[in-house]
Amino acid sequence: MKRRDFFTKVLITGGGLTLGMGCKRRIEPSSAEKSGTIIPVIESHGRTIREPERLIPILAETDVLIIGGGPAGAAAAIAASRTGAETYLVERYNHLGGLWTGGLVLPLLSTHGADKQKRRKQVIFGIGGEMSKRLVDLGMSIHEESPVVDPEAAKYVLEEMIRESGVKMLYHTWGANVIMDGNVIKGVYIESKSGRMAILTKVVIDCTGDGDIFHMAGENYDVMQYAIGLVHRLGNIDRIKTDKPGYVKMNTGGPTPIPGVNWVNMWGRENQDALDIENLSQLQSDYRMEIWNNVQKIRQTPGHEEVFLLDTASQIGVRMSRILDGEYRLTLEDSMTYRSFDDVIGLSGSWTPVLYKGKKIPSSKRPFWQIPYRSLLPKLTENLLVAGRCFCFERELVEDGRIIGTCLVTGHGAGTAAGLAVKNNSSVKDIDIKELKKVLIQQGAFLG
Amino acid sequence: MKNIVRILNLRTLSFMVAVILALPLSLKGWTGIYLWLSPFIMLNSVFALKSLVFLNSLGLIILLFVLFRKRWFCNNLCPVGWSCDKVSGLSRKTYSYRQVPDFGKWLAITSLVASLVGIPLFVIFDPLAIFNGFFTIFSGGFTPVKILFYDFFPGLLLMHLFLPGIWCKKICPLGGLQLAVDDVRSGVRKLTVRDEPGRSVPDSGRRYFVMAGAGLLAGFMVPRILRSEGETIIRPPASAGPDLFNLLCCRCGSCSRTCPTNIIKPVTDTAYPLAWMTPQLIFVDGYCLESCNLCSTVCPTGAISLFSVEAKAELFIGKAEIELKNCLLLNNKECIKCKESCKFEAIDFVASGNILNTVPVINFKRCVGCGACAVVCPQDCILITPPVADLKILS
Repeated sequence: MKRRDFFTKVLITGGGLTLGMGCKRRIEPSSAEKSGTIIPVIESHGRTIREPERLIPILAETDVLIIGGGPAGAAAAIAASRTGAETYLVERYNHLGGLWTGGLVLPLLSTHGADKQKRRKQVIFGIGGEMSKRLVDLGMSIHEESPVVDPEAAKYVLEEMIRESGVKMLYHTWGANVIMDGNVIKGVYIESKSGRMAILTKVVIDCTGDGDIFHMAGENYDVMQYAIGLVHRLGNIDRIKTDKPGYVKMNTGGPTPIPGVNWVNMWGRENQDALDIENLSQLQSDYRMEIWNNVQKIRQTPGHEEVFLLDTASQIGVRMSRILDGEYRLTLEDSMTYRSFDDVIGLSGSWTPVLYKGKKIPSSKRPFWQIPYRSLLPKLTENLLVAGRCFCFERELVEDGRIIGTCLVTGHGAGTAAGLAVKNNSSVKDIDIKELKKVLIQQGAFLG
Repeated sequence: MKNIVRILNLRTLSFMVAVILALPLSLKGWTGIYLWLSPFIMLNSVFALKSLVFLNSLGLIILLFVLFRKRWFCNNLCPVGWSCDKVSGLSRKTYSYRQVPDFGKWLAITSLVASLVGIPLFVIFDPLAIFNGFFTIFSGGFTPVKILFYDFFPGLLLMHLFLPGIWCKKICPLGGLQLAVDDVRSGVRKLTVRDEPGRSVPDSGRRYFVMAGAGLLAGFMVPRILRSEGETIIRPPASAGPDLFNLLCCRCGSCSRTCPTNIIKPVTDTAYPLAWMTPQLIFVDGYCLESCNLCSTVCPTGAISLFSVEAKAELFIGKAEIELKNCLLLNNKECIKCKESCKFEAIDFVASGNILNTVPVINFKRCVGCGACAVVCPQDCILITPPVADLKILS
């Protein structure tokens, strides 16, 4: 055999061998290890005490009872009252508007969404739209899209509308428990300076945000842990002297309708349990200290001497807690595909970009989305409606489900539906959807 | 009827199928499946990576066919062969090119031997790669580099107008490989059947010896000369290292056509001529989906190695870097987009000093650089940079 033949053959054999040695190639994950989800435990230290049975005075008997006077509750009360139903609204603080006003979360987000031609269009009308309009007329609202409002003006406007519509208002009052008769809520125990009382009612709307009422009524729900913050406002922003030697730009938040006053959002600690009162109290305490210290730091920075802490929110900024397990769970997919529902009660817009099917959809291009009546309906209780951030949607939609604009829309829908159910003496579950939509449109709502 | 039957012979049909599979029609795993038929790509890939995937069996089957029927692939399946023949038909001249050496055979053998020792040399001359690569024309904008590469297939056809049959007969490495296989067959036959008169003598051992020697030399030397260090290209997951990738990748464009979020784009940066037209990830409006391994399933050369979807948490494409200055969170605005979009739980919100200074922080042990956060960030303050491992080569 010639030398070169030998080399050639060696090469060929080598090639063959490599081929033979070749093993199947596919990269697999190394041992998969997934951490389980942590289930929160509220400590009661294992001890309990039995409350003695007692007689509770009945404060009133009404048609519609709304617990929670935030954006959803206020809109619901006005809507229900406008349909002619006698309406009671129970609010734990001294103002209407909840986190929007007292919580100082001033932007009315997602007033606009993109239509099918990708044009931005206002979608929040009806009672929420009316509130927004009145604030504009007062000159207490800046930006056309997702306006930032003045909290005191918003409290005033809501008060005005509640008074005009004849809602019976109970401030400084908690909805303490439900009075159940099978699957029907006969009324709600309330707790206040007057002690424990009961309000009997035909329909209850849960606008507590945390879903306290549907929790007590025995509905199923999802509990979400989220960041909790505390918003504050700074004054004298217009007196910051940028030309002062040693001036450094400090973070002083965003403008409000009042010149010289800024609102400062706080993201706060992550994954907080909003249903644990000890935790909430701790956060409240910590945040107050941190905000004060931070404002002092700003005041010590050259040019910022006159800046002062105007106020901290009277309500801690709980973003999410309970989410109802309702008749229909609204999905992100629904919100991205112009899904239309027969029982639409309103539309909401968008304010953040999302990743949808692996691609970015900027907030300006995100569709407006319909909210069906069914997602306000609990599965078990006969005469309960849920509005506000705890209505039934999937977690992927949380950024759009939890904000003021959506609360106003769901509140309006729930209020009108409750009023109609009382008027027609029917259950909220088999309400005439056509009539509901007709009345909503008469009340100025936009249904797509 | 007769006409239709005549038109629809295997080769024409094959051409049509090849075109359909090469078009950007989101055919998922079927995209560019034709490339797997090429035994040249298959052998280069298997030799270089010393491992196999299931689809390599297609190439093996073709190799078997070729072993029994001379140039079976060229005559029955090759879409480039079909189109070259059509163009050659327009020209009245015919040449046999007896004087021209078999460049194809040289390309094939040199490339294969070189890939045995590490680096395949001429995969990009595979006709199926040229054919498929041409169809990348339908995705993305134009740059001089892109046009240069797109011209390959039309240029081939143009060449055939003047020199009919030249590519298929003399230059094509896939054709050359088939000729070499035929030589092997004759060689084997010569060993078993002695003195068969009338058969043409196959290429002498000497020529193969020189080809193999050139391949060996090239295989050893080329990686030393063409160092791709400092390349800051973000490759698809499970890609080979930069030196190997640039030569193993056949520029067929299948990965960029199959990518469901359209983030795989050809490199056209003149700073990296070696990497021209190889895939890179551009995170503009899409990210590398956590539930997708399509690019790895279509890559015929294994430059993007096959991986399972579950392995994605360990395949580091790059790493996310946040420019905090514009971050909404640091400016006390409401935003959770990066954290929410991270499927690998690699982003935490951490208070730095004061709770009002909460900022997103990336856990590099978990961040694979999929780009979800970078894409969704409303302030565009997240950037995906090449993984740390690549930077180590520099130091």
